[in-house]
Amino acid sequence: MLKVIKSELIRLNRLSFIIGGIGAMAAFGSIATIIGFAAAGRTGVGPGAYIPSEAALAASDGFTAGLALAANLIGIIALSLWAIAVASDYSTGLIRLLAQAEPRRWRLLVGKALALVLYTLAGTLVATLAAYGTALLCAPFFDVSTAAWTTGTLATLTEAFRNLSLSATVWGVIGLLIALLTRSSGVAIAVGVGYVVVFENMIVAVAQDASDWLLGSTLTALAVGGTPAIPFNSALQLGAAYFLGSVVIAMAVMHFREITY
Amino acid sequence: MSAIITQGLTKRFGDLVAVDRLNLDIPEGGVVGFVGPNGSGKSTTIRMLLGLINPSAGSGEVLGAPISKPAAYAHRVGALIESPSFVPSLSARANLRSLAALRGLPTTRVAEVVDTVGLSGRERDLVKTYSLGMKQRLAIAAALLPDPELLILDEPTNGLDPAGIVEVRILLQELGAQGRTLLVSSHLLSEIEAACSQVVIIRFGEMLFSGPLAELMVRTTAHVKVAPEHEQDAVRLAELYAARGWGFRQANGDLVVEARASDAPELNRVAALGGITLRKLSAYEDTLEDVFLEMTGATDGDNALFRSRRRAKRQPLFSQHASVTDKEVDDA
Repeated sequence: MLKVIKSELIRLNRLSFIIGGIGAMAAFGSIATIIGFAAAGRTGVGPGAYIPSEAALAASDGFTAGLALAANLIGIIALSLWAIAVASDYSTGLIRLLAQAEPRRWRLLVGKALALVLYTLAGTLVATLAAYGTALLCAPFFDVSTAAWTTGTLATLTEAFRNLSLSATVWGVIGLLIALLTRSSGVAIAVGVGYVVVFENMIVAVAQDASDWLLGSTLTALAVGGTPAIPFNSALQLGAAYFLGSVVIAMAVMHFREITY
Repeated sequence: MSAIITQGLTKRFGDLVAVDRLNLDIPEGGVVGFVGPNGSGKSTTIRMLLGLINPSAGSGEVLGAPISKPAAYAHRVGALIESPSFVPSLSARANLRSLAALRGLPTTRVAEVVDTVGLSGRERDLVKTYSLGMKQRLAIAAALLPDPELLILDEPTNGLDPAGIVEVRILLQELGAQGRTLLVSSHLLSEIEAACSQVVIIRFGEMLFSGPLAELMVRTTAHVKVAPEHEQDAVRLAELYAARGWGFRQANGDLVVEARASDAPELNRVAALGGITLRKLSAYEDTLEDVFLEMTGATDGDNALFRSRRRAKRQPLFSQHASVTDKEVDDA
């Protein structure tokens, strides 16, 4: 298994992935933090947008508020990265070489997923630190008190990183599954973005209770440590269900699909 | 001992029979050509041998292990399947390192195969800057990574310039001389003829011939091309040769007589005695390409409908050149 992970990490170590993945996560973490501070307390900013209150920003975990705002964007980046990593194996024909060298395809899939988890962890870590740094810079500029930020900073950052990583990883596995089914990163990204931005909001509009378990709501709750509608433990269980369901389907597709391209 | 053996290997895609009860027996060692028209089932066969697709029926073994368990022999097999496949935004070296890591091979192996295929000095360049020929070399390098006992190369000279083709031919011969088994699929039949000791010919998923190239070439026919000085003598010349029992046909204004080079003086003498002066008298032997075209019917098998129609009226193997009819002689 380590061979597959090492092989995958070598292929992931390219500029487009580093800038487009880790860099974009960090950028969105910072930008969302700035927006969070700039728009703090505003209401009626549109569906799906979470804007922290001034009190929330001044709380002990206020420096992570931007991450909550950026959670879905970072999730979409993770979905895109995973989808591109999978689909490019098919578009380049590399899957033929990989499957010939390692015929146990479940190993290929699990190894790739584990390598992408490492990559996602790197991205969410950098995003968390970027959001924290940006919050430190923004607080005096927007007259937000940072007195409460001095206690338990490391624990708060660790928790924020954990939640964001869990959420982004599930997003990533969803991207892996869609890319595996469609063999197209473009379709996978379009489906992911379209679902979060449009489709889930449409479903919630007609069936409000669905927001208690739908993918976007669940992963947002997971990223921010729980919401009033979905407590963290519920989000964790639902996220695990989405994760396992996606992995099982992906394993079946990978195992049974013939490599004819 | 056979490197590859299949029994009744069959692959169906819906109604299309891509490979039809193929019985292969490829001995260990040497370079084996694997030829057939487009769509004849070569790539499908190769994919089944490598475990990329499952047979619909039949069985096979690669290096003594069943093809249903490709993990048992994958580490002993290198392959170039259809076209070079790499991450374009990575260097050749990184691509090879990635594949070496997947196989658990040391990084030093990368430098060795890069050197073998003549890419030293360019291995740090991005693959997207490579020419098709360089990508082809890189693909061969990737196939060589595991130091394989069996190399399966699908169109290894595709995209190479004439010098590159010669280099690959020499490389294949060297690899074969090292005791490896090479199964080389190619459309360049002159390359198969130059590099291979054995040949397998398939058409419509069925095997037409499998054996030593020399055995195949024994069945070739020698010809002498003859042309009279004056075109109006062609019919009379044909009659003179027919009277002596030589078979012949018309081709591009020449009479192609089924005769060996040693018969050329007699052909000349017959013409002279008949008062005909020849402007052309040249002997030649069929090449592998001639044999291949005769066996496969010179058809492109990509069209499945065409294939299904052909199935009903296959041509006999090694049909004799048709003797010219009276009408053809008259036309000439």
